[in-house]
Amino acid sequence: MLLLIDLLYAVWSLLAAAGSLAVGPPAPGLTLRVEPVFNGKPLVLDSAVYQTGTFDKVAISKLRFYLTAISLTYADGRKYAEPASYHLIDADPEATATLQVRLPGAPAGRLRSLTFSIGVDSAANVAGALGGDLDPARGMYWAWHSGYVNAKLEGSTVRLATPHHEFAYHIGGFQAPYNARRTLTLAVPTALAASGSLTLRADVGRWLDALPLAQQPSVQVPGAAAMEVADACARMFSLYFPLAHASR
Amino acid sequence: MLVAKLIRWGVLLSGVGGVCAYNLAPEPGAFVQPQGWPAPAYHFATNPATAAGRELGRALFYEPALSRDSTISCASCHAPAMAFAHADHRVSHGIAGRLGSRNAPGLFNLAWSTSFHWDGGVNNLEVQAINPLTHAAEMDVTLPQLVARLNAARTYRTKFYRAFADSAVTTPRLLKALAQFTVSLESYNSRYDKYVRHEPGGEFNEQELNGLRLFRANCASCHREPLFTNHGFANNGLPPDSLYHDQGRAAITGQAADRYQFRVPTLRNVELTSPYMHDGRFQRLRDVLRHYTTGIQPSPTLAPALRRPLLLSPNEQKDVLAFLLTLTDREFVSNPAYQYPRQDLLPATTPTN
Repeated sequence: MLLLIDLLYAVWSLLAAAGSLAVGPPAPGLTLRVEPVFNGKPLVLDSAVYQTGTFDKVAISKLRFYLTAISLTYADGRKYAEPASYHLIDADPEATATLQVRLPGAPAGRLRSLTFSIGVDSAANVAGALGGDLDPARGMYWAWHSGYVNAKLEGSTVRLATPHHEFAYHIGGFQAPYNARRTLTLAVPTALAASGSLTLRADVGRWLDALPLAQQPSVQVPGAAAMEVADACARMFSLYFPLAHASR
Repeated sequence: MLVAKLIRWGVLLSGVGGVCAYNLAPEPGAFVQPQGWPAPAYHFATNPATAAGRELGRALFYEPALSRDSTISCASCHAPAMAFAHADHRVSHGIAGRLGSRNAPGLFNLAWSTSFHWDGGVNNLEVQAINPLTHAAEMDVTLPQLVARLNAARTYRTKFYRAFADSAVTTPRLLKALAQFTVSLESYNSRYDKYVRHEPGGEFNEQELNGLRLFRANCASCHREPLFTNHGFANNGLPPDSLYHDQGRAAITGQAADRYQFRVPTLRNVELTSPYMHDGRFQRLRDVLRHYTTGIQPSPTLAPALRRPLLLSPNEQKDVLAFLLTLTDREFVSNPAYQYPRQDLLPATTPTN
């Protein structure tokens, strides 16, 4: 009797092993890490002083944005879209927001590209009171003109003739013709395609370089100016790939 | 074993069912779709109304602890006896005597509103409350502050549990509970309504009948029945105010064509909601009628319907006024479900932080 049980256990173990071999080693799921930087150097809020093409001594005090509608395209043409994909990203280490997005439902496989939006879609903008990262208490909501702020960038630079030398961009608006949400697709480098994790760099230097900072140091309402700032904001994103530096 | 498991599941499920029946089943008569009215704009599916949710919303509506220094509640500017408007106050009054720049409107039939505020900047009833709660000239509280304050109050945790089957106070639950109460404020039993429905108590005299005829001929393109608004925006020919320089709808759209356009308000309960206009500049209804007959200021954005003069003799104006008084709904303003919930509020010693 005992022997029979042992035998059955052995058969079951073999079957289980065969099963796991058939599935293959790569576990499903993907981790997307957001890395805020300034011209490639780690972004430290308030303290560090950076340089742009036009200004030296730029300090950044706030960088927050909604990373939404994340989807993956695989080398074999399959697609995966994260359901209810709304993530508030905050460069402040003391914030309750996150820098890391885990996609446990993403199937394993070689990736071709990553698609995402910066900002909140119009459906969520008219849906009434929402929770989680879309909780209006998270400080990314305009009450007087209902809608989410897609991205905030605040800082200062001594050569700006504004009060306290400050600049501030609060970019939002979802109604045509001033929908400030931006959607990007980035090709996944071959070396990272099956790694199960991606690093999305948000380079504030590239955002500021794409703007006439001196002429337009403050945009905080939806409209034509916000559309330009949203375009500039979208230019700060790239997939970080360490080996690419060596080959450049 | 299996039987025991089944019995356990059965007990569990019936327990859940019991909770649902108590907390989540819509009360009959909670929201009424009045006969002949359009479908409501409010999306009830994402905020199903319950008796417990409405009770919570009512307690919050009358709760002074919703303001930073616990001195004012929503009801401070929206009193039930005035159809939830603010009698004798031109503009809204916040904490510490701070003044806003616009008149607090009456609150009723909000389920049919497609936007909120005089400039239409707010797109959903649930997020409207964020404005008075957080505005420095009104209740001046932050949402995290308020959520923490309510979470610390045992009575509110109990109420949130009854309403949402979870005692944790969150921003969306707070806002949805308030909306459940405010969307329940329905006014459809004025004498005019009974006249339209051919019900007892709906008799009109000659003057009122003539007033209705004149109203339909001269006012109804904007103040459309049965809600007495077309939910649009218009420049109604008021001289621009020199105090606030309020541009109205243009502040939201950024379009010059929307300058001095303000929400077309409903005229239901208009007898009770003085003072009138977006900045409360007129105290009496006869001042309003005088404005429309002799006070219209030409302007590039003036409403097309007001570009030709509105000719109403003094007697005709009196008839229109007589008709407007038939829009008062006493059953609405005295409905016990809408009044101050005496036993429910936090003690006045609530800490202010």
